[in-house]
Amino acid sequence: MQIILPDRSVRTLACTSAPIEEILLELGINPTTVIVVKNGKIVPEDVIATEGDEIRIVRFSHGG
Amino acid sequence: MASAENRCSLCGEPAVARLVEPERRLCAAHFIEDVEARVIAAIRRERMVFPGDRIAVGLSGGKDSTALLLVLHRLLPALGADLVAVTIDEGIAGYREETLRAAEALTAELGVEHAIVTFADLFGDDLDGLLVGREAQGCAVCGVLRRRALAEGVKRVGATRLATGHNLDDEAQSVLMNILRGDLPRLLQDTSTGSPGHFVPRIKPLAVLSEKEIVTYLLLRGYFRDLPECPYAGTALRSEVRTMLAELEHRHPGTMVRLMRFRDGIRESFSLPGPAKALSTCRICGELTSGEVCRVCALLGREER
Ligand SMILES: [Zn+2]
Ligand SMILES: [Zn+2]
Repeated sequence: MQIILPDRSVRTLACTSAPIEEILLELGINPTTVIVVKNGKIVPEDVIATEGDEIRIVRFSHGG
Repeated sequence: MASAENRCSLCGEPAVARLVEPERRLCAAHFIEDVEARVIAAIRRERMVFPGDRIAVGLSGGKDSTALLLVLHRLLPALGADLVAVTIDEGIAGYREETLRAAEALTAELGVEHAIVTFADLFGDDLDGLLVGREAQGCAVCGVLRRRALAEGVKRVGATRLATGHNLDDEAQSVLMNILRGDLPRLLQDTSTGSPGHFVPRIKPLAVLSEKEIVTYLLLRGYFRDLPECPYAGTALRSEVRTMLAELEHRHPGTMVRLMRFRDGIRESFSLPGPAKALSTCRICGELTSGEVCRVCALLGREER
């Protein structure tokens, strides 16, 4: 799956399926400070991302 | 599978958000409805708006005040109140131009009357000029001057109340900061009633919404813009408190709401009648102050004429 980070850089993850919250924490991102867009739709972070998904992370909280 | 169950609790459409107290998932349409219903409930509960009121939104053009204008534009007609926007142009290069354009575009689109008050007009120079040699104090100086400029804007448009875009995160951070600074008077200070003839009441209709909910609302309504941030960094304490609270909120959902409940409880138990703090007028500009010279005149180094 492809992860588009807040700075617009793209990371490709090898894992086949994982809750988005776990992916965020793995990347050092606090889920309360971002919004997750999966394949163009906003989703809660407990949704599972699978192979072929595009996950865009929108950061809005500056600082920390 | 969690994803298979990600359906709106009300209609079964795909959900965009999961909320607590009560635990629910909501689709885009029901999320927007839920957000607006919580804001109008807060406005009614805290008696923020009365029929015949003229509400001035302090519109910076950033995300919170944009959401506030959008929400009030929908809700105020039912409350019998009128809406107007006031933007303060501090004159911050590389930041204010774009947010000012966003504010102008939004008010034009919604057909909301819009007044712009500039620091240059009010204080003789823009913020960048006023701060030369003391850039590190940027936010403190700007906060005092912006407050005065907003009051002036409110006067010019003849508004009865000033609504600001403070959200739950901002408010919870302030509570914790006041505790950490040991500043009880500030924790108890309630600006929602104003001071007859001097300050108009200030209301914060979005204080029931987290920053995340506000941004989700803007994204869903197609109004989220990636705008530049102010170059003057906020206080170090606020940024530490923001990070700390965000982590606590993640591990213990509801932390911010509980902090606000704690503040409200303290305010209630302290709201016994006591001697009102004596206020006088500034001997330089004539505005209300607790000392001889107000903070605006002190910051600007104004002299008696
Ligand atoms: Zn629904
Ligand atoms: Zn003064």
